[in-house]
Parts: sequence; C-alpha cells; structure tokens
Amino acid sequence: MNSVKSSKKRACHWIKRQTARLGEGSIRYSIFIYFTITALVAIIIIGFSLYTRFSDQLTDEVQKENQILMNQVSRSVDSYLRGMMKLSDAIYYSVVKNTDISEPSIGSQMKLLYDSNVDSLENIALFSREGELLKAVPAARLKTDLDVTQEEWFQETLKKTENLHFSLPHVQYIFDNAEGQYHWVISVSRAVEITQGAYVSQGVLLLDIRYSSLEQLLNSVALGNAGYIYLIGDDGKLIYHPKNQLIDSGRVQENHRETVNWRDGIHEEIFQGEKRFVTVKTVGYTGWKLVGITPAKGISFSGVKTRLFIVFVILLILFLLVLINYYISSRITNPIHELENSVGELEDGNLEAEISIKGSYEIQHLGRSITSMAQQIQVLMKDIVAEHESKRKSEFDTLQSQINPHFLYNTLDIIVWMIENEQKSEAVKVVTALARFFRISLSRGKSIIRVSDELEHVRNYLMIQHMRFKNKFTYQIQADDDVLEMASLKLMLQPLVENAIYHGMEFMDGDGEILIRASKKGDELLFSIEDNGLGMCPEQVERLLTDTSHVPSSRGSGIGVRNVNERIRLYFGEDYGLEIDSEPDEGTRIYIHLPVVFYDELTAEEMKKRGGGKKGDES
Amino acid sequence: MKKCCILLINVMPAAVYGQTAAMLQKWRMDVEVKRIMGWGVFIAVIGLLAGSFILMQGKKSQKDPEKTSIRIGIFLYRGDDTFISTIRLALEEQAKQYEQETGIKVVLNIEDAKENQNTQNSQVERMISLGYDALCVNAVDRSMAAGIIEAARAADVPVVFFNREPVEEDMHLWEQVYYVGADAKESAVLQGKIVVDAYKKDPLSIDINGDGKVNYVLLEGESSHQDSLIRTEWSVQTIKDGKVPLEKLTGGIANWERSQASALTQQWLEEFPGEIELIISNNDDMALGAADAIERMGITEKINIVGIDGTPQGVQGLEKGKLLGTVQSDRTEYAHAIFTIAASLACGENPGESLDFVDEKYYWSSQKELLRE
Amino acid sequence: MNPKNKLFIGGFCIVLIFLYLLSSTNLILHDKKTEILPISVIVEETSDEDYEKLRKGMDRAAEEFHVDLNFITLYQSHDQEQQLQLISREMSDGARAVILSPAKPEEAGIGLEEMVLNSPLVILGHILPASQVMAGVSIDYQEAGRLLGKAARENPKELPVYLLTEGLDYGYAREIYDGIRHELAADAKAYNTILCTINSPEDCRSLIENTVYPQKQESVLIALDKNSLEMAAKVMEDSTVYQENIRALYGIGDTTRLLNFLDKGIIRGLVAHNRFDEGYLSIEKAVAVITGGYSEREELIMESYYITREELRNPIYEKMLYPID
Repeated sequence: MNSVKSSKKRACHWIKRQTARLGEGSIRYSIFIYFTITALVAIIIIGFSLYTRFSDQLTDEVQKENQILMNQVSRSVDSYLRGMMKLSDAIYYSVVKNTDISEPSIGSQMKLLYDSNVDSLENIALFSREGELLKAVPAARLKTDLDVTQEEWFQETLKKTENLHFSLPHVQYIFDNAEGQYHWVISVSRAVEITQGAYVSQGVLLLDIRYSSLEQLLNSVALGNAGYIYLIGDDGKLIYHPKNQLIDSGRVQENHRETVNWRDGIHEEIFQGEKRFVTVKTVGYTGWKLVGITPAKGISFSGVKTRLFIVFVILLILFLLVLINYYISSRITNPIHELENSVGELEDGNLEAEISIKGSYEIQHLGRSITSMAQQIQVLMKDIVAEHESKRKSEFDTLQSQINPHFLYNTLDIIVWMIENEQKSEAVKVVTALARFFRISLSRGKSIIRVSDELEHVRNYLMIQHMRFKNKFTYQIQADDDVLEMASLKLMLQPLVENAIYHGMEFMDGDGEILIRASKKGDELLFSIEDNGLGMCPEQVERLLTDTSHVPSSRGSGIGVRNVNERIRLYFGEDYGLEIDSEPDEGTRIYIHLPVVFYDELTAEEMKKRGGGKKGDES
Repeated sequence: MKKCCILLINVMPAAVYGQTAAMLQKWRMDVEVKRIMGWGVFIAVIGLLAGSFILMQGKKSQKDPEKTSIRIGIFLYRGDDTFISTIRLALEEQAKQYEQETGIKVVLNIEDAKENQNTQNSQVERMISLGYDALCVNAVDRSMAAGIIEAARAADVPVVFFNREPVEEDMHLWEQVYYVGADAKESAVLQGKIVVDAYKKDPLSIDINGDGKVNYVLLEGESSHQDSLIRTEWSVQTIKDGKVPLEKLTGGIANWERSQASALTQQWLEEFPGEIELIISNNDDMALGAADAIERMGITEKINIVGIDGTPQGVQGLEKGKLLGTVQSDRTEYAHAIFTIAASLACGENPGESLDFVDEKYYWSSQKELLRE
Repeated sequence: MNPKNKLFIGGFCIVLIFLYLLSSTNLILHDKKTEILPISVIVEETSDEDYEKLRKGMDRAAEEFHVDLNFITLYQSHDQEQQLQLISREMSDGARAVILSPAKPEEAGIGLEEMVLNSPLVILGHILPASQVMAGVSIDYQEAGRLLGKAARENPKELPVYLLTEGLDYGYAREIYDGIRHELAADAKAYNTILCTINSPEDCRSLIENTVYPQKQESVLIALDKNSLEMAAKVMEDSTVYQENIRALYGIGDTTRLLNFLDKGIIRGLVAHNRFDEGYLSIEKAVAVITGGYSEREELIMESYYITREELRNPIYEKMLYPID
C-alpha cells in the first residue's frame, strides 16, 4: 500500500517537475510541446471516437444486412417448401382426388406437373394403403421384396392424415435404381383418398424432392466474408450445412443441437473460442430453422492493415503538425530570439546594438520599447556622466579651493614677516590657525562636517584675516549648544565671510563688525552672517547668487557665494540654501538654511555615496 | 518481389527529393545548385519509372510458345448414362494415346453434373478459372448452352459440345464452338433398316403372331433431347417405308434410363398382355430395361427389341439374344473426334485440318447396324 | 536545424513511408492473395470411375483450400513403375504436392527412396519411409481383414473359403489376407482357406463355375480388393445357380455398384471406410505441409466398418456410404 502511494507521489512530483521545466524552457520548445500534445490528444480523441463510431455503425450495418439476407433466404426456403406443398396439393386435389385411379389422365397430368418441376423433383409416386405402387412419374418400379408399409414415412403419414409429412434428407431407397447412382431426397408425403370404381380407400402420395435443389438454394448464400447458413429440423438434426459431410464424420464441430432451442432473432455466442453472431429464423409450417452464422472477426473494421493504416495516419498528421508547428513557432519565436540576442548584446554593454523590430506587433512593441529604453539609458548615462563630471568639477573646485594657493602664499608671507619681525607668538598663532584652517578645509575629503568644526574653520579664517587686516574689523561667533553636533556643509561660512570682508569691510576703518550666528530655528538649522558693510543693491545680490564666471580670488578659498548655494542645494535639496538680505550702506545679512540632521546620521549615508569612486581623494 | 523493389525505388527519390528540398531551403543554398539537384532527381525518377515499365511489359508478353501440357475439362450431363460413360472411357483412352504419341502431357478432368445445369455451370466456371485449355461439354440443358459459350468465350477457351446439341444460333455465337454427335436421323434409319431387313427376310420373325400387324411400343428418350424426336420419327418412318405394317400400341418417355424403361415396359406388358411384338427404343439402356421387364415377368413369348448406341451392355444383350439389333456408333471415332478437336484447339491449331466438318463446326461420327450373329 | 534534428526527421520520413507501404499497398503485407496450389493425385487404375467418393472429398477440400486438383490415371492398372514416373513428371511440372495411392506399396517404398523428390508426398495407405513422404491416410488393413474373417465365421467350418485377389502385391491385399487368415485360424479347427489370384472376369467365372461343376460344393468367397469383389458379384448376378451355391460373398470395397449388389443380396457384407474423409484429409494434410511448414510426419488411420444390407440405411453410415456433393 505504501509503495503504491509513494510511487504515485513520485509520479506526481515528476510530472510537476516536467511541466515546470516546460514552462521555463525556451518559448519555441514550449509552444512546440504544448501544440503537439494538444494536437495529438485531439487527433487521438477524434480518431478514437470516429473509429469506434464507425466500427459500431459498421457492425450494425453488417448485422442489418445479414438480417435482411437471412430474411430473404428464409423467404426463398419458405417459398420453395410451399411450392412443394402446393405441388402435392395440386397433384392430390386436381389429379387424384375424385378421379378413378384407372383413368389414364392421372398419369399424364402427373407427368405434366412433374415436368414443370423436374429440377426439384426426383419422383412422384402414389401408393395404396397396402403399399402397392399405383402410379409413378417418371416411370419407376419398387424394389423387389420391398415393403413400403414398413417405411417410417409411410407409417407416420398414415398416423397423422391431415398433415404433410417432411422427412429428413436420405438416400432414395425404395425404387429400383440404375446401377451406379444414388439420389439424396427429402420425402414429402401425405395421406390421400383414392377412388377405385365405387370404392374410396386411403393411400399415400409421395413426392421425393431432390436434395440438390434445396442445396443449391442455400449453397450460394454467403453471410459476409466468413459467414454461412445452415438448416436444421425441429429436432435439431441437420438438414443442410455447407460442411454437412465433415460434421457427420466428426471432423468439424457445429452446435446445431443447441441453436435449435433458441428463439428467432440475433444471438451472440462464443464457439470454439471465437465470438460470433447467430441469427435464427424459423421457416413456416415445417418448423425447420434457418441459422445464420457470422463470425465477429469478419465484421470488424480492423484487420492488421487497417490498424497499421490508422497508426500511419496518426504519425503522418503528427509529422505534418510538427513541421507546421516548427514553422509557426519559428515565425513567432524567431523575432523573440533576435530580440533576445539584441538584448544580450545590450547586456554585454553594447548600448549601440541594433535592436531588431520584427515579428508580431507585441514583439515589435517590445523591440521599440527596448530601443527607446536603451536610448534613454544612453541619455541617462550621459546625464549621469555629465553630473558626475560636474560633481567632479565642483568637487575638484572644492578640492582646489580647499587648498587656495593665494591665501596660503599671503598668509605665509605674513608669517615670514612676523618671524622676521620677531613676532614669534603671533607667528605661532597664525601658523596654528592656518594649520587648523587647512585641516578643516580638507576634512579628509568629507563634504559634511560638524557644525562645531565649520565654526572652528571660519574662526580660524577670521583670526588670520584679522591679523592681516589689522583691526579693520571685529568679529563674533555665536552658536547654540544644541547645534554643535549637527551636520553642516564644509566651506560654507568661510566664503560668505570672505565675501563680507572683501566687499563689505574693505572700506571700513576699524568699525567693521562681522557677526556669525548658528542656531536651531524650528526644524531648520540656521546660520547667519551679518556685517555692517557696504551692502549690496538687489542686482548685486542677484549677481552674487548667479555669478558663474568665477575668478579664483586671492583672498580666500576662491569659492563663490553661488557655489555655496549650489552645494547646499545639491546636498540638502532645493528647500535649503542661502538667503541674502542686504541694504546698501547698511550692511548685509546672509542666512544659511540647512536641515536639522545630526552629523552621525548623515555620515552613514555619506559613506554610501562616497563609496563609489572617490577613495583616492581621501587624504 | 521485383515489382515491390521497383516501386520502393520509385518512391524513395520522391521522398529524398522532398527532404533535400526542405534541407536546401533551410540552408538557403545557392538557387542554382538547388535547381541542378532538383533536375537530377527528377530525371532519375523518370528513368526508373520508364525502366520498370519496360521490364513489366517484357514480362507480360512472354507467352508460352510451345505447349508441353494441355488441360481439358470434360463435363458429362449424367455420369451413369451408359452411352456417356462409354464415351468417357474412350476419351480417357484417347488422352493416354495422345500423351504417348506426342509426349504432350494431357490433364483430363471429368465432371458429372448429375442432370443439373446449375451444377454444370459452376463446374465449367471453375475449370475456366483454373485455366483449362479446352472444354468438352455434354450439356444438361441444350437450351442453356449460351451461358457456357459466353463464359468460355470471355476467357478465350474453346468448347466442343457432344451428344447433346445446342441450338444453331448458340453454336454460331463464336467460331471456337464445335459439336460432335451421331446423326440422329442416320441412327434412326439404320435402326429402322434392321427391322425392315429382318421383316424382309422373314416376316414372321417380326410379325410374331402372324396377324399381319406389327404391334409396337415406343420407348423415348428425354423430351428435351434433340435426338429423341428425330429417332422416333425416322425409325418409325423407315420401317413404314419398308412396307412393314406397323401399329402403335402405346409409347412413353423413359428418359434414356434403364430402370424407367423397365417400369414402363412392365406396365405395358400388364396392360397389353401378349400383344406387344416389337419394342422400339431410342437407346440401348432403355431397350435393356425393357428386356429386364420381360425377364422379370417371366414372359416367354418372343418380343423383338431394337435399340441405338451399341454400348458394351447393349452388345452383350444382343449376344444373349435379348435384343434384335442395335446401331453402334464408332465410339473410338467419336471420342477421337472430340479429343482431337479439343487438343488441337488447346495447342492453338485448327481442328479442321485433321477432321472433316459439316458447316465448319459439326462432326457426325459414323454408325453401323449391329445384329445378332 | 542541427544535424540531430535533420537525422530525426529523415528517419521519421522513412518510417512513414514504410508504414504507408505496409498498410495501404500490397507490397509488404500481401492481402491474402489466394494462391492456387496445384496438387496431383495418382491412382492405381486406368479410369477414375471407382474413385467417385474419394474425389468428392478431394474436390470439397480443393474448393476450401484453393487447390487445383489433377487426377491422374494410369495406362495400365497396377503399374507401379508408371506411378513413379508420373510422380517425377508431376513434381517437375510444378505440382506442389502429390497424393499417391500406391499400386504396389513395397515396390513404391523402395522406388521412392531412390528418387530425388522436391515436393511432399501423401500416401493413401501406409506412410512410406522416404523422407519426402509426409503423411499416410490409411485404414488398419489387418483389422479390415479381421472384420471379414469374423463375418465369414458365421458360416460352417466345412465350407471352403476362397480368398480372391488380383494379386497380393497389389495395394494392401496382403495385410487384409493376413487379417482374414488370423481370424479364421483363431479357433481350434481352422477354416480351409484357398487363395486365388484372378486376373480377369473369365478367371473369376471359371473359378466360380468350378464350385458348381463338376461337383457341387458350397463355398464362401472373400474378395481382398474391390475389383475382384465386383467381378465375383457380376458373375454371381448372372446366374441364380451361382447365387445359390455361393453361401456368402464378402469383400472390401464400397463403390455404389458394390453397394447395390449388397442391397440386392449378392454380397453378404463388405468393409467400407469414409472415403470422402480420406480424400478431404489427404488434401488438407498436403496443403498444411505446403503452406505451413507444419511438418509432423504422421499416419492418419481411419476406421473401417463392416456393412451389411441392414446397415445400408442406417443414418450413421448413410453419409459415409453415399456422400452428398
């Protein structure tokens, strides 16, 4: 039980696997297989149903035909027997009855009737009750010392005087015969009244029918290919059978003893291992039965050749289907293949690859889509490249500006001057500030630093500039505690301060004030750089933010205000950036809006962004 | 087998061609090469077809020029008709003689129709289908000969009828139809002559009771046999012409059969006791049957019986004194005629070269009277 | 398309063509074309008159098995040499099998061994040792003889029993002779049996006459073959004197003429067997050997029956004695 279950399971599993594999295989193969299987199943179903239908119909037809044939034969036998009976009647009623036996006309009339039936009749004879042969046509003599009254048919006839008595076939015995021949006859006898003068006595009228005439009637009947007909008496004894002689000697078997008990109609039986149909029809009056045998083999549709033919047709159709299949699936799948190939090329990196646009409109659509996608990719890639380029550029700029040579030279000059002038402590301060300034400028290549560092950076810058521009201005840096750990863009404050110094403080004589504030405002991180310098008119403000032709200035990092703004927006989005508030002669206030992000959080993302290709920039 | 090979070979190129074409298609080969290959295959196919055709034709036209054996079918209307069975024995002998003389093997197949024309028809058909070269037919029903002639003609198998003559129209349906028989009129005249001669020699030998009348009864053969009527008519006529005072008591049809004649004669002997002086019988068998009846009834008065045929039994009866005389046809000549016609036709020769025919198809064998010695 | 596919399609095409030829044409599987088999039958007499029953059986079998039957008679009766010549002739003429009723079985056996035969032989009689003889269809001849002997024992022992034959060498007369002798010698006092060879009807007549003249001696006659039986019956028919003097005539043979003699009382009893079956079986066997390669050598022995006048109309024997066509 278990083994059955497990093998069933395995079978199911296998089928599932195969069907899954089918779906995953190439389209052409799938179409092919599905198509073929469908067609095959269809053919088999159609073929099978047609075959069985036709086969059944054929069987029915043949049976009907056989039935009709049987009926015909039955009618022939019937009419044959009736003919004999009528003949007997005719002889009796028209010739013998009420005619004196001594009249010569009896002889000639009997002869007339004999002549017209000579093919079926062997003899006509009239006997007296005592067995005396009164008349015989053709002329015949009884065998010497033969007592007709001892003959069975004679006795039977006189027993049942109202009936016509049919005997079984036998060799004619009672007449004196020519030496070398014997005749098989069927004796038809009846009791008659013979008139002799004034007396009426009983007698027997005998008609010996030629067995060969009955034989010929049934001989030529063939039921289909191997079928035949036979005739049995009401006691089951064979009257006619195509193999009469062989059955008698036991060489051939026939089950006529059973069929005699069957009712009229068609029966099915198995005889000697073979199925056959038996049709029984009773012939009137005598009670004889006509039995028709049709072997089932003869009816069936299929011999070896027919079966082979069916196989041939199935295989041929299969073959044609395969070819058609192949053709169709090619038509469908070839464009897909080419598309696939093209995509393969795309995958390999050849963006210029030509995508084939062929096949059904879906495939064409796909092709076109892929083409435009490839083009889009190309464009996007160009954009990315451009972006990367510009990023690189600005990074590069930033990088460069991080190490502004002019500022360095100038500051170094101041340091040399200080050293030469024995202002060692100032020199130390400047050098330290410069170091710190550059350190934070570089910040190991990071763009995002802590607010505290950024403030430190601008502080150092201011200190240096304060040294240089000897008390031209004062400065103040204020920061809330809670913003110190937040993230800020590097080199953001310094350029603005630079701007404030060189454009705002230039012409101030010691009254200049720069105030830098950093605080959290709402959900923003707000920096402000205030100066009480010259201020700018709105056009100047405008120009400040959009000045693309930027000249690396010797005064600071060289990064323009615009650059700062751009960088802010690049890193933090469009929502953030610079806000410039300026009044000529009053002063300028630049606000920097940044999101509130803590440095630690942003670092992780930065790491990701920078992970790609800029390792070399780390210092 | 040859046919099979040829056909297979013819089918293969077609298949190969189809395949090649398909493959070429797929290979997208040069159109030129494709065309050349196509033509090549086409010519090969035609060539093979033509070749096989010629071979077949050659086979068909090969008909045997020299016959080494001939097959002849003999169809009797009733095997135990005494006359017919003597002809049959004579035919067998003729066949053996022919075989020994010419070295050509003769296959004889003798069938008995038992007085049934249908049986005879199927026997004839069977022999035709087995390819027999000639048929000798003793037709059951002479009016139905046309069927046999037509069947034989369709198969080009010549037919010799004997003893039972088909009607003239049927005989002329085809040239390869012949008839061998004994001239009925001649037989009858000879039979009559026997009586006339005997009467002339000694009238009392014929007119037994000396009352100046010769009472006779007549035993006739089958009413459908062409000879019966002629024999009856001419026999009686001849006797009458010979100035013998004939008077008919009665007559009857005994269908050539001894037993029937015996029964009839017995009836007549009972009907006309002592009156019958002469029994004229259309053939020997019936004559012997009459003799049987006389013997059985123990009649001692002389009754003259004459028959026709001269069968061995008849001759024996003649010698024993049962018959007055008979007319014997030369059976050897009879059989020889039948056989020669059949054998010549089977070998494709013209029988008219060796035999004399009347109207190109009738042969009448000679007859002679036979009297008790 | 890769070569594997091409190969596959090519192969498939061939299979298709093959199937087509197989199923729709007659090239490979022949539609039972009925082949007609020529078979020759060689008997021991000059005429086939007495072989009517045998022929009926053979004709029936010929129809059923599609046989072209060639029934051959001899120039002279009992000519064994001619039989052997005919066998060669028929076989070289294309007979697929030959059925032989040997005139002198011993001679035939020796003769056949020396011949080179290319077709099978069926013997109507005992199977002969030659390798090409595939079957024999016979009766137990000794048994037949015994049946006759037994029948003869109903007569008193004093009557001499004349055993008539055309020749003990002919057919199986010798075996029948042995059978009769065996039966008649079974008692303490044996019957007086006298063997007479009769070559012609005159011989027969003179023999029978001798039983009447000069001394009237009632006798019993047993014929060992059908020809002598017929001769004896004919002689007896002619004369009531003979009929009275011969107590009983027995013999082996079952032609219709002999049956008529039996009916008339001239023959007391005869031994018969089913000749229709004999003919049928011999053809059936020959066809089986030709077509089937079923090559079991066998002797089919048929039953013989002793038939008297009463038995003539017995339905059991009726079809055997008087076969229907």
